[in-house]
Amino acid sequence: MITAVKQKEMLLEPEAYQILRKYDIPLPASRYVCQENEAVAAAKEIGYPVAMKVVSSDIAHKSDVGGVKLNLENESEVRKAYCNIMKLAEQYGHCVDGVLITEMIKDGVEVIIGCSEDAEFGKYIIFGLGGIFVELFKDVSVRVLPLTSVDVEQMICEVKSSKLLTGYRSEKAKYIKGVVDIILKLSKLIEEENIAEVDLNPVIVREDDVYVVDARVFVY
Amino acid sequence: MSQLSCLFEAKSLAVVGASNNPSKYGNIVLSNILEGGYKGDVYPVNPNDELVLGLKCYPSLSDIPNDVELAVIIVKNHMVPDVMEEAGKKGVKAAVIISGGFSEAGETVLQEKVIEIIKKYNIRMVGPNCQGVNYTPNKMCATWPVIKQEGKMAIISQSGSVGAELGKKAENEGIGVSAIVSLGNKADVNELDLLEYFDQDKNTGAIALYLEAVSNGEAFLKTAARLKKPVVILKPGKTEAGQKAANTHTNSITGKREVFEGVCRQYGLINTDNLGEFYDCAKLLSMTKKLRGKKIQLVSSSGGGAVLACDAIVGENMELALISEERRSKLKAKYPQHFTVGNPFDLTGDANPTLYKEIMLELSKEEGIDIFMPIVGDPIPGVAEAFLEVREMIEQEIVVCFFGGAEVQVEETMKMHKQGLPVFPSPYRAVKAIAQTFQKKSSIN
Repeated sequence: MITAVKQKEMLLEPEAYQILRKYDIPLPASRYVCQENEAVAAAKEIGYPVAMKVVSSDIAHKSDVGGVKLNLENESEVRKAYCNIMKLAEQYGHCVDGVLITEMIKDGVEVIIGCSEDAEFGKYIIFGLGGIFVELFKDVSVRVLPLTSVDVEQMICEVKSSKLLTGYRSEKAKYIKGVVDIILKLSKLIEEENIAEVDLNPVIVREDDVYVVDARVFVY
Repeated sequence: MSQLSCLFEAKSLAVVGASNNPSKYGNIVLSNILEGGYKGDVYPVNPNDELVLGLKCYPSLSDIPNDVELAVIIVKNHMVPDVMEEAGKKGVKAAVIISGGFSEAGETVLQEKVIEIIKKYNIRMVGPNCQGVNYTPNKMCATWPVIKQEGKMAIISQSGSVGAELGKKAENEGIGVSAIVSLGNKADVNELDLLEYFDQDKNTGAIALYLEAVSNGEAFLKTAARLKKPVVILKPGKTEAGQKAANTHTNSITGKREVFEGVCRQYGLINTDNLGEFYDCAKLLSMTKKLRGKKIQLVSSSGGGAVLACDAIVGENMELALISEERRSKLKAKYPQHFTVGNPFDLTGDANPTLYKEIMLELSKEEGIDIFMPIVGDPIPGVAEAFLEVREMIEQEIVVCFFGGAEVQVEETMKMHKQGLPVFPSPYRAVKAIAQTFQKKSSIN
């Protein structure tokens, strides 16, 4: 398929966070640090447990290279994780800018929200439930810009696995309004900024709140 | 009225490249125009003949003594610019260029030249490289095959074969079409112009669109948002292999399948997967009002048909209507024990037109029924009249399923189709066509 070849570049996650914050998209508390002692201080400030993610323009898929450490419970775990990430980066020959320490967001339904560009219809938003639902079942829905809140509600209901959000068996309904809100804010963001592609994966939806836990943003 | 009315409502036309040689399109198209019963004036144009198909033939457009509104052009590609220039001087308002050998063959400069000329003279043009135009209310069959029967379905197609197949099927079934337009290279008139035109056209009830790629995504969405009539779409290129083939066929750069599916849901267009579904759904929508709900009541002469229909209804996310207990007891008391009173309502081998009619009329008082689907699984003459009568007396829509009825089925189906009542030859196809019209999902709550 022939598409317009425009160079796109991935933002570092702290930069991605910045642009998402500008549009009031909910993110866990986070600190971007470049030293082991700073990492410990940041973790204490945020409160344990925390997550640590490598920040590097060389690394597109952080977890594939051991660049994501979850559920760090105390100072020694933070120090160990930091050294580990630096060592691995060295092994792979990646240049590392630092690490992002974030609040751990647990116990929710994982969804993905993305934006990309289509050869015929331009920018579109994609929504799906995370993990195997996206990869194995390709259970996603799509809407093109501009979109209304009704469009967004419909796209959420449209995926077969949406029952996991609306409540299934003993599971209570999740904060769908928050998901609608993120999609509307993201659509505003991509209309106003020079964005090529966004991949918010996962977004964790709980009963009363929702957080974008991992964000990849590509700009032209 | 849009500028395109000068194309569809043309009161006179010239066939440039008309021929006496039956193997040439210049012969086929002129002969189809005549066979179609075109009421306007027809002028064959060809410098080599004095008579073509019995009509006086003119050496050129400028030799025709009267006004010509439409030029149908079937000449060698390099002659087209000169013909168009002449058409412009003659005051021709619309052109259908059947000739190929333009951008699709790498001759973009030649196509640009033609575009320049039509802009200069303000001519609207279909094609080039197309299979022509048919508008049955004007009995104007400037294409092939001959399709004469008027119906409510307008077909817009980026493939000549798809348009011809759909149109002929509709005629064979007694449904007919309002129009068939082959898009060709879309150098001027494109799918959006035609969607807008047929949306306003009083002779059209539903639009069937076969499209390999949209000309302009943003404009497509703007038009889609404005349309009032149902639009059924078949857009191939759902696989990588299909996309490659579309690219070769019409130079199309197709987008992603899931994006187009999203567009259809967002804008209320009906997206179909193959020719069969495409036809069935366009047929249903050209014959019914907007279906008000998903609750279907089955009244059947065939146990098997009823079972198949139940599976189809549930499988396609439609609903079996529920009859009130009160009505159920009343009907149970009235009819023989071996009838199954409920949904499906099984009349067994006792089924006859009067029984169908009585039961549908009684059940039509129920609030929870949106659509009646009588299933006729036997050769029962006279059901057409019964269903047509019932249709006039009730609020609900009727979608008929007729199968296993041999020659009687063919006859009865034809009678119903001619009166605008849709009949499908299997429970699944009837239900699937209905279900397709409900693609847009409801939102939360």
